[in-house]
Amino acid sequence: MPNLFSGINMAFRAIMSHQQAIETIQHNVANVNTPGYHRQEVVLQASAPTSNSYGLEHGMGAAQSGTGVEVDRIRRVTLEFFDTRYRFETSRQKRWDLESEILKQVEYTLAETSTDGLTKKLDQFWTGWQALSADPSNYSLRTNVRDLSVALTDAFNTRSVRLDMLRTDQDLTIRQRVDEINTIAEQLATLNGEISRVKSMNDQPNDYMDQRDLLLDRLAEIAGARAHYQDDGSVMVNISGYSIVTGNSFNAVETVTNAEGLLDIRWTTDGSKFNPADGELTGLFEARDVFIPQQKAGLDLLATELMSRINTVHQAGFGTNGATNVAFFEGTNAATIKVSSAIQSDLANIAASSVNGAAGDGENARLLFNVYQEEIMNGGTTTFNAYYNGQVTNFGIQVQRAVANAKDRKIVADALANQRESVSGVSLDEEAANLVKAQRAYQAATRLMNAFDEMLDRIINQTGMVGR
Amino acid sequence: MRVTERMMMDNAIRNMAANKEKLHELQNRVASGKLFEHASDSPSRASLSMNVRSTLEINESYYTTAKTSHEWVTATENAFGQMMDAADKAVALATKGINETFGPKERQQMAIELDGLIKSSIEIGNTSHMGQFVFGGHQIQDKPFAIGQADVDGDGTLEDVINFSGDNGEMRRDISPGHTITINTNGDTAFRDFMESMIEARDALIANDTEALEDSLGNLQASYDQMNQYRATNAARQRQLETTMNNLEKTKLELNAVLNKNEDADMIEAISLMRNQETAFQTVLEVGQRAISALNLFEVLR
Repeated sequence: MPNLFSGINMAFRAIMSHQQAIETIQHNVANVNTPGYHRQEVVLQASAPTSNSYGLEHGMGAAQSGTGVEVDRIRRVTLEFFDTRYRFETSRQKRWDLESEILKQVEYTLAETSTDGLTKKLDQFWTGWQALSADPSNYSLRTNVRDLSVALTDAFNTRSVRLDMLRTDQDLTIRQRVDEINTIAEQLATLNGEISRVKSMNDQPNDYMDQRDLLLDRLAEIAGARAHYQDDGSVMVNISGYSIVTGNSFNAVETVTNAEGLLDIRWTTDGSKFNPADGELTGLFEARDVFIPQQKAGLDLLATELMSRINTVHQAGFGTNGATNVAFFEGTNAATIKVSSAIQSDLANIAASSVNGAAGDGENARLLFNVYQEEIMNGGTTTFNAYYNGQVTNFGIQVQRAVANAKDRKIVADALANQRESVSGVSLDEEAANLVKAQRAYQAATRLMNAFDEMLDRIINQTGMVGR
Repeated sequence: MRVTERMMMDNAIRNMAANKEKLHELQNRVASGKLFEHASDSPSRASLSMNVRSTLEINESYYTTAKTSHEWVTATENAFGQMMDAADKAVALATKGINETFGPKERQQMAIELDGLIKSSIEIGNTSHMGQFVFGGHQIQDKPFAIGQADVDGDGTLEDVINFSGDNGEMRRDISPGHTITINTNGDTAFRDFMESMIEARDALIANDTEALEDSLGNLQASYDQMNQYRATNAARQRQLETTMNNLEKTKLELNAVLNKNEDADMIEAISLMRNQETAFQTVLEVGQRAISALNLFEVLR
């Protein structure tokens, strides 16, 4: 049987519920621009009806009367499926982003433009020999050959050094990312603890979960981390199958210097190698450990084959001083290739002639010039120029592919981000309409409270006053 | 689909950025006049460009070699011209000397003239071009020809002999890929017979021996023909070198055209594309501005 006090209670509960709704709307509106914020909405439900029908009304259909409204819970609007897809795509996108950045830097340092580059120095090297073959006793032509050769070896040296520098430069990025991973893992563990605690009390840790989602997004970007939601509200995160966060504990990573003097990453607990599943670190490691060494190896091969062939032909010839069997180049790879000290100290040692004591014989220089046509690289199928051309072009294709991949992945990631935002984002129009709803309901509830108040006043103060 | 403010903002920003990137690329193209800057912009074009540039560089080198070879061969031709003049005179003298109407005193006169011709021919044999001796094979730094004295026929008296101190080295030059020619003529093989015949004739004139003179005249004429042959070979080389230089010039022009076609941006097309893109960018900015400053329900409700 209803009584007036329960009426006031009902009105009070309505006021409180709608006030809560307005507060939630305010929270949403305040966070309209917050990254990673999922909108919250109050879920109202009718409170448990009373089954107390006594006496007169019993069995007459008057029972189970309603008792008003209550807030069931504050729901966080999210779709886990979109989160997982989004993280998958952004980790791919970030991987290609960073990889294409690094590869573009490599292309800039190789500096193969139309007016300069290793190809041009190689071409000039060949022409220097041809000029000498036409006039082998001319000392200024000898100086020319030496100068062009020094320019060529310098070009090899600087490119080799720059490639090495690009590899060591990545160490800074690795250190930063490792610190970031450790910080995120620690925060995730703490949040997991808080969230399970709050959930166990049957409350909704909505804002904690927003924070946790942001951290999971970032971890996916860095290393392609996968998250699995557990029943108690905590999340299990692993990278390439190795668990990084479980409940409120986490595994840290650390940097370690490898055999080449560069930084690698390993797990602190058991020292096993850290393998990023995707994300920036995958791109970084692939660029540093696969593509840059490929370029360096190609450069080294070109240098050593060139040295070997030129030296063989040169040693068979004679200088103006009768010197023979003199090596023209010395060194072991692209970083160390140099014009030999014998040539640098005495230009007469340049073996332009094929026979001794013949000042007008430039036959050996002519043979050295014709090395440009010899197919020595790639198992005897490619000339030196064609080999380097192939190296530069293939690398250009790889860079192009990385840039195109980054662009494509971005389009997909952006589309998924839009979908996520569409579900969980705050729409100000919606919130305005909801605000009107809640405000009107609040006003109506206060009106009702007034009505009950008047009724109570009548009962309490105005009843039984007959004849007073 | 449910659209939020963030989505509209993000989309507007994304579109502006994409358009700006396109505009930037087109501006670069117009400013530099080139279709691509790095190999990654267009790997196939970059590869072609590198090849063509290398070929141009090497072709320049072939051209220079052909030119200097042509100068050498021309110097050789000039020397041959002078030598043939001397040969004409020598043959005329010998023919005159055979004539019975002349006596020993006239023959002595002719011998002196012939001696002068011998010395001239030695000088011509020692022609130099740019400070290098032309007829000495690879020995370009010392005079190849000299008259020496040696006892050739073992009779105790010294005769004049031609000493050749050059060698038989061949100067080979590459004038185009796979095409090598020899540019020098060996003075020994070309001139020795002639010079020795002249010495023979001179001695015959001095000795007033018409029979010996007839023999020498035969030798002179034979060596005259031989020299002509060498001259013709040299002239053929000259023509070959001229043709090669012409071809190389033509190839250079064609290759440059290929390079331009491959690398250069069509300025008219590039500028009009850029203008279009500028307009598109303006439009995107306008639309973006509307998206960002869109009204929402809050401002409309009381």
